[in-house]
Amino acid sequence: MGPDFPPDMVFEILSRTSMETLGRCRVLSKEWKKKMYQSSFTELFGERTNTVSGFFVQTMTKNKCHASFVSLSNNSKNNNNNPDFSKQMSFNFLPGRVKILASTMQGLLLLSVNHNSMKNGYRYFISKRTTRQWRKLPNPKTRYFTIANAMLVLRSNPLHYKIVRLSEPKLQCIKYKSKWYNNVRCEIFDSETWTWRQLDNIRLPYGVLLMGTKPGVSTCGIVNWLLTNNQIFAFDLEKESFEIKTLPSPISEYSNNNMQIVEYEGRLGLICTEKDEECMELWVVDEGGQNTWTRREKISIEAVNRKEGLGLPVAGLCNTDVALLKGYYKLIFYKFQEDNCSSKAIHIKENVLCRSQFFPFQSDFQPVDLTGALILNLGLRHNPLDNVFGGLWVSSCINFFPLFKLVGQWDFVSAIDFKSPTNRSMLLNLPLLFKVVSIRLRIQMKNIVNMKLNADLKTETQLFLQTQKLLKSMDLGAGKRKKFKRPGYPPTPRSRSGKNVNKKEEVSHAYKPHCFCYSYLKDATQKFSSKNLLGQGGFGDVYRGYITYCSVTRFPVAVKRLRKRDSQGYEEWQNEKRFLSKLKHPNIVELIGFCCDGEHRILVYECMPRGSLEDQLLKEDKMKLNWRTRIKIAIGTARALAYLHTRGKPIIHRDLKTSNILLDTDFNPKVSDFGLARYGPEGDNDHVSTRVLGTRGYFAPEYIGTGHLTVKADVYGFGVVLLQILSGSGALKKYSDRTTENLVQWAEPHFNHQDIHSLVDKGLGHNFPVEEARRFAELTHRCLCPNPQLRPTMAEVVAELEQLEQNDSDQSSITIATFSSCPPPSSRKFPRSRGCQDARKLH
Amino acid sequence: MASSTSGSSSSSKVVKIRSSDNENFEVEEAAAARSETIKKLLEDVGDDADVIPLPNVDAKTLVKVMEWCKKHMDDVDELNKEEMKTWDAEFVDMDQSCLYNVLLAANFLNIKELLDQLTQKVADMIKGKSPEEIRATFNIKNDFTPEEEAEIRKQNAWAFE
Repeated sequence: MGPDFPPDMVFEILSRTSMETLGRCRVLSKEWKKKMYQSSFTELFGERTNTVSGFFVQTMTKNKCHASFVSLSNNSKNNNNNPDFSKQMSFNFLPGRVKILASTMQGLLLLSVNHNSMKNGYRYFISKRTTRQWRKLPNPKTRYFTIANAMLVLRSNPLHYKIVRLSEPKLQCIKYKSKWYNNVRCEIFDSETWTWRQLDNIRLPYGVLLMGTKPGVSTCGIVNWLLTNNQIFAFDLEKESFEIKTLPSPISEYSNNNMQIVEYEGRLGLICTEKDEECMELWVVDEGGQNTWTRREKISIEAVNRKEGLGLPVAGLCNTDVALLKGYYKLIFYKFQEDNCSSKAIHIKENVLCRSQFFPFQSDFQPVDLTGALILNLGLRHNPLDNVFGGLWVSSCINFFPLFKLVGQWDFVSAIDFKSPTNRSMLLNLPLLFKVVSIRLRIQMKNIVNMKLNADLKTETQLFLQTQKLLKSMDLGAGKRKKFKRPGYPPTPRSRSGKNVNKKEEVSHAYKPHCFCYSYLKDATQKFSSKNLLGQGGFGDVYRGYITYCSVTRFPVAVKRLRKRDSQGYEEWQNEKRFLSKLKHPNIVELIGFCCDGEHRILVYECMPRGSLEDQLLKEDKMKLNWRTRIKIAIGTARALAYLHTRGKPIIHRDLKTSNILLDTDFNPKVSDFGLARYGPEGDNDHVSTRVLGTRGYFAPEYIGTGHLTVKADVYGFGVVLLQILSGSGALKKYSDRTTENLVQWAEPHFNHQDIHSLVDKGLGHNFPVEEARRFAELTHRCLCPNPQLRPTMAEVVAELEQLEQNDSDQSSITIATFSSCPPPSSRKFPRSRGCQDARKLH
Repeated sequence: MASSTSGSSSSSKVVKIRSSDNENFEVEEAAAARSETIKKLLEDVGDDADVIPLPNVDAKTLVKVMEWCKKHMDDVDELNKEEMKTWDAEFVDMDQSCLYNVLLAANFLNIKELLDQLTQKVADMIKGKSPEEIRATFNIKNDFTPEEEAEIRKQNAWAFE
């Protein structure tokens, strides 16, 4: 129990809280509720908490919308006469012409943005103006004429909102049970599912229209519009149903030109004036949810009439005591509870106010996540200073604050000093974190895992334990990993923060590999146990390991540890890390992270369950490696190389071989090992000169001879791989007398004699289409052409292989089943590349 | 604790104040004058004032308030602003009952700046709290019927969890 605070002190305190707290404080007591709905309080509150409130006035001239903000506040900062402020509230940060469709009192606006470059014309946007945040929404499914739009914030943290759109369907009138009705289409957008959903059409009495040009007024989760017959159309966004309410007499008899529905102390109200009358009436729905109305005020407008002219229409109500009147060339805030006519005028250039739309608006300057996701981000973020893998980070939309570092798998260490006053105040500004930590991981727009963690943050340890428990329970299954956003924040438009982060940097940062600490990887691989050894390469040993990645526990990875500690090893490690961090392609292995603790040099990749192509080719049982799978592997690999070669700055892999082509469960190939990769020639140079590095059996002849390296050296290497795929043997043929022969040399006579059956892997038996194998062999031969200039480019190779695959799927299994086992008729020769012959003459 | 001194500079004038539990303090006039109430009393009584009694403030609280006054005695220049901010943040970081007492004292002594800092601190504290907790904090009596309360909660549903 606290001490007896005098009410004016409580007033002082409440005026310094936040919009949300204020919302909750309305249930404190009758007296406080009343106080908090008064303009004197709102103004003080706005000034102290930096909250703007007022109206967006949208005028339409020459088919173009223009919106300006009219602030209720008198203080110098958020005043309408302050040009900075008007600029701050304009929509010039959006890519196109903007039209406001709906507003909320929580700072969110529903906009339609028209941009020339946008194919479909208008797009729906959601925006928080004060923080310059915006996000495209999917457009509604139907493109009929819109009658009305409304938006409602159901929850602020985490953000959850719904939008309702009413439009005119093709059939505007329908007959139902022998009566005619006006037909209205109704669609709902829910931020949790991120899709539009169409409800049953709404039937309005025949001839009755919804006055949708005036924004709907929302109270208690219900949006209200006036109908042309002086009834109220109330749409409940939570129940997704509607109701038509009647107005009491005598107001039901009034002309609805001078009628305005408003929100009054959270309830539905209505202001009406009869032309030339001296009074304005304010009616409010009674408490208790019944549709009974009481006249609250009879406001004399004599003084205003005398000063500003007769019968000014009402545009809206601010709080409970200020009416917004549409004057001639100006807007008048009329404080009607004060007897004197203290009005405030804002001048508008053109007299278009009678045709303007008025959107009530209130907003703070706290960034939000417009998708309603991630308040507490379980970011696996890398802290370069102390090599910490991951951790728990609190993210407000833009900034990341480290809260706890994750050390090992489940050990948290407080990442910040809670005792420091600046940190404390920073944390105090994130009050909801302390009360309820809601963790929502957006897997996909449609598929949300929503979890709540009730953490009473009286003690730090409690949060540790709670979070730990929660994280452990969040086993989302390894299969879903792909659907996760990578660590880093989903692209949030334009940050408000002073940091000069350009967009490109942010994006590249999102793909930055993590830096692991050695002990973590040691645990992950069970101390690099030999039973986890997957393979050994020239540069290091590869182990299987399990880490926590993208919130997936026991995510399998391949950990490659540098074995030899010479300068070349380090160089290759560095080189591979550098290249793989930059590359992103479905057929290039993904680098998850690295470790450079002390003398340890480790790279962590995604795990490829089927090992390398070499392993598969050398297996006794090649049943799974059928013809089509082989084509698939060839295409994938070719695509990866084509991607490397056609980048702005081409990359030459230099060490393409079957042991560097890894296969996932579905035999999709991924090229790995970029230790020897380097940038290709640029500008006028047609080659780069280097030391000859690579693997025996895969060297292009010109590269061995001269050391001149071009992308065509990779094409040769790829030719060898194709030959291996075709013949199923290693790059060096080993014979029983321990002599070896280069596979290409071995194949040469078979190529020349078009002896396809000698070339093709015996493991395939007869289960391959001869004609395709022929074309495959021909392509292989061209790739192996000694003259680099006569080899096809990788793009050409991809095209040809794709054509082959196309044929393959066209002819389907019938071809394979009806295969003749006899050798090809000698009269049929597979076409010989003239180019190659010519080239051979040159040598 | 009695007669806690400030006599760092002999040139500055010293005023005597007395807490509710009859402890006397000597503070520099410049510091004491941060309080509008004391300043006014000093003006009223003039130089021949003996001890100014402060019947609403106990010794413990008064020490806290005077600590703040001493720190804020002189106008802060730009350079020290950051430092002062840190000091202020640390100052308001006290236990709840102490905070409330100092707040009430600041209100009685009419020290605007301190009052602003403390009310902001309390406001930050109640930001994440439920209406029940806020009612308890401020001794506000709930005069709504359960139905009325449910309706208002619905009106402001967005602000609740």
